[in-house]
Amino acid sequence: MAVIARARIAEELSKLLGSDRVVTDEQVLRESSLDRYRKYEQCMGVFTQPIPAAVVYAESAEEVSRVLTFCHANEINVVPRTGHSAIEGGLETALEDSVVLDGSRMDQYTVDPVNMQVTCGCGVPLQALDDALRAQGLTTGHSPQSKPLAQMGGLVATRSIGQFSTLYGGIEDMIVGLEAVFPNGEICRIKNVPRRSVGPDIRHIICGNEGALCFITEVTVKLFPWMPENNRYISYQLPDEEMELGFSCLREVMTAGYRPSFARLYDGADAYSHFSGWLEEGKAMLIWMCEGPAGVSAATEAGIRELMARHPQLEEVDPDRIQQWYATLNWGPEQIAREREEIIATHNIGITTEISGSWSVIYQIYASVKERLLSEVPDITFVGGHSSHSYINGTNVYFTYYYNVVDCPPEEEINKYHNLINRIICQETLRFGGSISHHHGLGKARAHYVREEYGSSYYMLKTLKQAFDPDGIMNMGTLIPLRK
Amino acid sequence: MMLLLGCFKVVPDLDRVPGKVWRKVSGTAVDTDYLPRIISFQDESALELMLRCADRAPDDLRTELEALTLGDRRCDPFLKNLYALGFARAMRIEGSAAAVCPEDTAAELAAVCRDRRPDLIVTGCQSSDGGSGLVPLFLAETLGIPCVTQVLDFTLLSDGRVEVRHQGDEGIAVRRVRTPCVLAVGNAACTYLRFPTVKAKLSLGRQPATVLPPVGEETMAGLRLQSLRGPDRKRAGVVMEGDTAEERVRRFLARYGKEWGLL
Amino acid sequence: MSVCILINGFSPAWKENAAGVISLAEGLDCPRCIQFLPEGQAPLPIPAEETTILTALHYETEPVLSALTQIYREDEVWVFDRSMACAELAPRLAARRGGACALSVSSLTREGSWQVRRGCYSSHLEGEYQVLRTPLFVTAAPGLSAPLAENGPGAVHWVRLETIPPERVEPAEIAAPLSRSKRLIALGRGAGSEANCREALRLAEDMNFDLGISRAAAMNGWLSLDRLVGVSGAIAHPEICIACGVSGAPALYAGLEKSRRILAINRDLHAPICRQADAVIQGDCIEVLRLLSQFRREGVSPRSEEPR
Repeated sequence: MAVIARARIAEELSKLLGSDRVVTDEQVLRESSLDRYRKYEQCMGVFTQPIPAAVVYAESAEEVSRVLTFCHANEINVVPRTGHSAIEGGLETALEDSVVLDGSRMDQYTVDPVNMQVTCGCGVPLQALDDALRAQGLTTGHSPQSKPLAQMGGLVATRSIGQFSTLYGGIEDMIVGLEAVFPNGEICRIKNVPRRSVGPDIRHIICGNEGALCFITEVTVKLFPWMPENNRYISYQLPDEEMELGFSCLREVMTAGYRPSFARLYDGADAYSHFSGWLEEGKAMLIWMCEGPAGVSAATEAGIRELMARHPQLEEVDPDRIQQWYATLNWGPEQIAREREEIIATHNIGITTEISGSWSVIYQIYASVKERLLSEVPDITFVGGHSSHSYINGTNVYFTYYYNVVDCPPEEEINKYHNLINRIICQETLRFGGSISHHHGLGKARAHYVREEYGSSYYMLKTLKQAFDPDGIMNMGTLIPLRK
Repeated sequence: MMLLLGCFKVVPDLDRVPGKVWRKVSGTAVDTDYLPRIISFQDESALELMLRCADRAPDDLRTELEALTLGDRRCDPFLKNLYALGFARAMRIEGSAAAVCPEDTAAELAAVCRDRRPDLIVTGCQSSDGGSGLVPLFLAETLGIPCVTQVLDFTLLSDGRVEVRHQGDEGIAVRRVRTPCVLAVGNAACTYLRFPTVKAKLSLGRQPATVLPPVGEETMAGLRLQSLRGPDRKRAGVVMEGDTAEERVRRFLARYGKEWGLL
Repeated sequence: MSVCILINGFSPAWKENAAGVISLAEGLDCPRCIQFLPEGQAPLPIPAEETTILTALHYETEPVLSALTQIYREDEVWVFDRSMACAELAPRLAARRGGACALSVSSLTREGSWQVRRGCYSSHLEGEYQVLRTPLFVTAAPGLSAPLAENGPGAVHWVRLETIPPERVEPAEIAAPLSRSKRLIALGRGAGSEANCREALRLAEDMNFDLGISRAAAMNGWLSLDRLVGVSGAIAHPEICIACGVSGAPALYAGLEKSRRILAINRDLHAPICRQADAVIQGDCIEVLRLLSQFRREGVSPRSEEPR
């Protein structure tokens, strides 16, 4: 695709930014050609995607602009990256001789406690940021499971969501102003104001663009007070056969006007994997957490308990159990390393796919996906699901599934199993009118379904892409699939 | 036909405990109820090695696999999983694995072994919740049979013996051992237990675990826990600053290189 | 009730192991020593009033066990070294004599009844236990050490055993036990692959360091079990230890904590090792090792510290 030779790409980038910013080590390039979507290939040391020509580290918006201008002029595909924790193929270098533009060194941030905002370079690691904020009695309120690895740029680019979103919202509710660089080198800054009505909200061209329209260099997000001493936990177990009741309980809490921070429903299989220390098999779990000023969290807790008391199928669970469990939730590098070793030894692999839907369709989506996965996918060893983000008008479902890779070379695993599973999940979700991606992003994995997902509004997405990236150099294959 | 019996312990996944919990301990127990359950690492290796051994047994040698644990109903999903993997029998002696001393555990396991009469008893050397390391040896003594520890792998021989590869003080040795005997598995590389499919679980894994009453004689415990404490391992932990690895390494060598004898 | 100490002379680490037993038995009355020795070897210089030596061409558990059962004296407390052989013998003798047994004991005292201390909860904690009955058979925990006194083995009594050799023995990959290492790199699962481990081995040689591994790395089959460091392997006392891609879990850390200085290399500053080291470099462990090796080799004089 690039109009200059592969070897010259790294050379020219070195002249632009300095050779200490350009990496051409073979192993680094291989690892930079994919993300956790191709987890099995990666564990088996197989790299099926075109290997990028270079990884280049930019340290300012101006440097990003110079790199993008250069790539634009030479028709080089660019993949923006910060924390490298993406899981839907968004970071795959789908075209030959791509360049991975890494912003992880832009890791400065400034806290503004008066205006309750923090301005972050795209490379600010969320865990480090939130740990520092908590020490000052503040928090971003954003706590995705990838927190130990993720950085701000990627979190905004993928429209990520955290575990407490039911109170704090997703990243889209948290962003104030942004700065991004477009493929033609244009650096655009959107200022920090609480709200405005000056035309369409252009922040949403940037938030969720998954690197297909621009490179995010800076983001300002809101801050909230951090009051963990007021946290309350409420939990019930119920028979797995009552999952429909479970969804209806989630809905009851939301439509009654309560805003817990954490609202979850685990089906029996998923619940067991978390709570095997004390939970029997065949029991689903409902869990809520209330946060905020003491009066508010107490009232929320009392309200939820009152609503749930009307359901005899629910059996209360000791809140201390939930509080202890909660501390063990996030995945750090040690767990990822252990998972990798297990995959290599057992050829059994676990993946997740999340979707969303209105209250009236969500249970049907969950039930029909589960049935189809169990009957149509070969060698499947586990299927479970949970809801983790509720709204007044619906919720998400996060499917977890494991399968043995049997009689299948690593290069073919993705088609034999992973893509088949995704196809089933997307088909069922679209059939009932839900969305095929709640918060992981379309990436390249689900870009194949973009037209069905968008329907007539696909015109708007396509036009954005044509407007901002007319020469097709930004993360090609993401959002809009490549033509075969 | 050779009968192989695997003894395993279900333990809490202690790797998930946040560090600060260990620093705040008091009394004689740490609450681990909230942690997910797993099979103790070396016991898991033992079960996987049994399956591999059965997979490659000579054609003229039929093998049957059984599994045994001491514990409460939290063990049942693991036993059903073993049925789904092709174990012929999965048994549980009713009791609390954490509360029973190694002497009593061995006595309970021995009672079942006398009943089942396995040719080979396979288990882990030491449970991953920091166990005593005594059970396999007490079990062997109670049954009056040999025991090989730190086993890495084993193969059945047509003459009824078993060839065992095990780690010793002088290196890794291979011995041929007569059966019945106890094999206590040590640090065997790459031996995670395989996963049964959902279909196998639905067809074979529906059988309930066989629950056996404990023999329950008077306890023969040799030790009683009086108190617990967390060791203090803190050091300065000075983090080298720098935007790149190179800068941090340079900073480290500048500050400590000579003093630490690296330069 | 007197103490008898038992040392396995077949183990290449017998000297460190003996120092461990001596340390454990310090302050106790230990008139007797039992040694297991390869045939032809002179008695080990372990101080005692009398020493019984079981000697054989090869080490084999059953004959040693039978012999020990016969030479056990009523009311003796037997303190074994930390070798793998002794971890088999102590429990089996305890079972035969109706006694109590504890492995990896870090402290042995008597106040009325005997008390022992040993690790529990995967070495995260240490427990103090009351011994409920005698006789008592214990093995020493790794990491203990006390100097051997000058006195000789006293009156020596030899017992020759007939043993059967193993079918074959795979010799250890490394020449000297890592417990003697003065400069040690401890490599953990952060290495990521066998290829990286092999590179780390080359870099270690370049820098004149020994290389040990964590159980996690060994369990992947990346390098030989001989290199295991920690409670189930070597306890090292180096001048400098580089903990490379290890999380700091206690089972491994027990093998490093006696280091004079520890440098931790880890991507994750939240890993427990970072609090347990003297200095920390954040980064990919193999990349940082390469840089350390390169700067040493090039004799690059470090730039003076620049303010951030």
